[in-house]
Amino acid sequence: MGVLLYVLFGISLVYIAATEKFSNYIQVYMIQGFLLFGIALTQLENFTYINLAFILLETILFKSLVVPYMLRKILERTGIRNVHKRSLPGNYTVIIMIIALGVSLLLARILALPMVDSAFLVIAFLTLFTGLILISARKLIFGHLVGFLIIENSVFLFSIAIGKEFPLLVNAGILLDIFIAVLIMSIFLTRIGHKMGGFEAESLTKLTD
Amino acid sequence: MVGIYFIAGLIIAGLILIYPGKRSSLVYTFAFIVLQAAFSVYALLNRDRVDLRYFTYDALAVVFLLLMSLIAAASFYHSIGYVRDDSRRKRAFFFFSFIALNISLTGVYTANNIIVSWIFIELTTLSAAVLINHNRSLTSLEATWKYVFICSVGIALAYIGILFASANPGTGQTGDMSFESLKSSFAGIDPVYLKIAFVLILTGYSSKLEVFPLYTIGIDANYVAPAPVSAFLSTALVNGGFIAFFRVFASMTDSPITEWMNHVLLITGLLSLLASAIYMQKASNLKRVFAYSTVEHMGLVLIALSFGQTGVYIALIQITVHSLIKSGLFFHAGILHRVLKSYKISKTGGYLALNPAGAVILLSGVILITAIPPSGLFLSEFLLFKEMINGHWLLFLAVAVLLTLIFYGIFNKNLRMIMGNPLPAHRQTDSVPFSEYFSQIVLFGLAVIACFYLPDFLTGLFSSISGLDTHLVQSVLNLK
Repeated sequence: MGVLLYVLFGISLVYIAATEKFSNYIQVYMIQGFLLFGIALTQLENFTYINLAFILLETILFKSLVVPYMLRKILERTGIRNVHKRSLPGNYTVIIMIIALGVSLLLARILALPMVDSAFLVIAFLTLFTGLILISARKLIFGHLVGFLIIENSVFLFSIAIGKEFPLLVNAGILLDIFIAVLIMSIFLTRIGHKMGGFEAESLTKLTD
Repeated sequence: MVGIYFIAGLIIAGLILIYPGKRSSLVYTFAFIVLQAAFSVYALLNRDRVDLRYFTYDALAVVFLLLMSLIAAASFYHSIGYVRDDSRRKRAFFFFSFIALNISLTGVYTANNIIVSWIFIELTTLSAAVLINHNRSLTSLEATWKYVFICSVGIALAYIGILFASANPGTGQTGDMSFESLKSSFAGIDPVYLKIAFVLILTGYSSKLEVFPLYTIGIDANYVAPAPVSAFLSTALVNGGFIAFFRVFASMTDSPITEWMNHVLLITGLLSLLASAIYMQKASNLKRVFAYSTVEHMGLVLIALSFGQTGVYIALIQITVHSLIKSGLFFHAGILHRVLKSYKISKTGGYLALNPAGAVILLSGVILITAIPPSGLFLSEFLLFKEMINGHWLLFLAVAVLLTLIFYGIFNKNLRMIMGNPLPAHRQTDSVPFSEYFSQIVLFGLAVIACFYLPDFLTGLFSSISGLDTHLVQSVLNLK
């Protein structure tokens, strides 16, 4: 079951890197929330209701419902639909993703420890690289925001892969962190659109020496 | 006590939003400044006491809490004039965020747990963002977006680093995440894990530390933020980044990667100096010049850290004196802007003719920040050079060349504003009351005193942080 979930998560990463429609970004992010819930459940060693509640909160409620809702609102308010015409085409990003997969496999092999699940590490690294690829390959700042959220998913995966179990305080902190960051970013993103008349990252170049 | 501080601070901040009147917001913020100072003194009097399990008033926290209280009071004083003409809502948000930033930084300074420290670092991003965007201009919006975005990505990377650092090969679980507990567990962790952790944490926190590679957002933030906020960001917030990073670094000093870590710090410090030296020449704006100077000083701090316990001691003098001078310079930049109506170097000039007292203070600050005696920075940089000459000649040469370039850049830009004839548009300017200079005179005065005399309580705190024996400290400083 665990392997199937990893594979599905990996496919979702390749899809999000290749797709050029922002609505697809939101759908894939939503699905990733459900997949993370499944992955976390298969890895949970000490079952407690509090642990389960936090996982539910972080994945299903937050990643699959609240954040996609906020992202949809941003798309509605800004009217943007697709990635910028001058963004790196999807087929190129897929090639970069294949290279990223190779690097992730290599890193997971180098970092192999008896208690750390290597397959998990591969997916966690690939998720991190996907986030970074989205930030660098997409011209519109909405793509950057989704890239940041994907990096946060990699944080979640790393915490399961390496940590397996974290105190409540940590979970609460992460949850608060993502929620406020997304909230603040969505406010600024909308303001940038209104004030600068566009959402291209290139329009953010007024601050130079 | 820390619990009372957090609750009282949040109540005061909340009251500002509920009663946003001009007088009430000033009274509440003043009450917070008193609370902040009282808490710092309490921390000094209760050294090494653990509060609410996750907070300790150790020497490192005490030094920087006292420093922050001083700078916060001066920032508040200069902010009063800055927000005078703002709407009630805008002013209330300004003081609310200022208090929130102070509370978050107090959390960073006192946290004895790597995760708690990380959470408070993230909270500083959010409170600082509102302050950076105070002017609501296009440039402030751009700087704020970049600040929030890059800090969030950086801090996410730092968190992955923390996960690697806390991976226990015995159980695969993370339990006690206090710095003390991590220090003992680092001996058993695969060095590759520790190296990855160190690089990720340094990269992530570099956005707060204002060093290579994520220093650029700090430059933009200092440029667009109101001058009293820039003074606070480039000192108290940078010190917060330093503490968060230093606690991780100190926990790793007895691990198998110590030597490798020192090399990384040397390289990062040199790259920060290089970036500062290059961009300082290009900078066309006074606040950017001061911001690049912060990158330079924090680069020197990283280089100093790579020299073991003596280096830590030097770094502490450097960062303390830097905070005093840099905050004073930014406060003065706000005054200069009122006289010359711009921070742009090409659009200004004749500051000496228009405001002689101000020009003397600005020039004094520039002399002090470039570590010319009687600056306290002369002491730390002299000691650092002494360490470098003992077997690190190439490093000494590289640092000397880069510092010369930075020295030229700072003086060149500032003298262009101070000397020359005033532009016709600037000839009618309001006079600046002498009380506006008070903060700079006090801060620069303290930086000068540090060159000749470091009080025993401060040297005691520094030796407690660095682990240097007090007799050894005297031999390093050669003061007695």
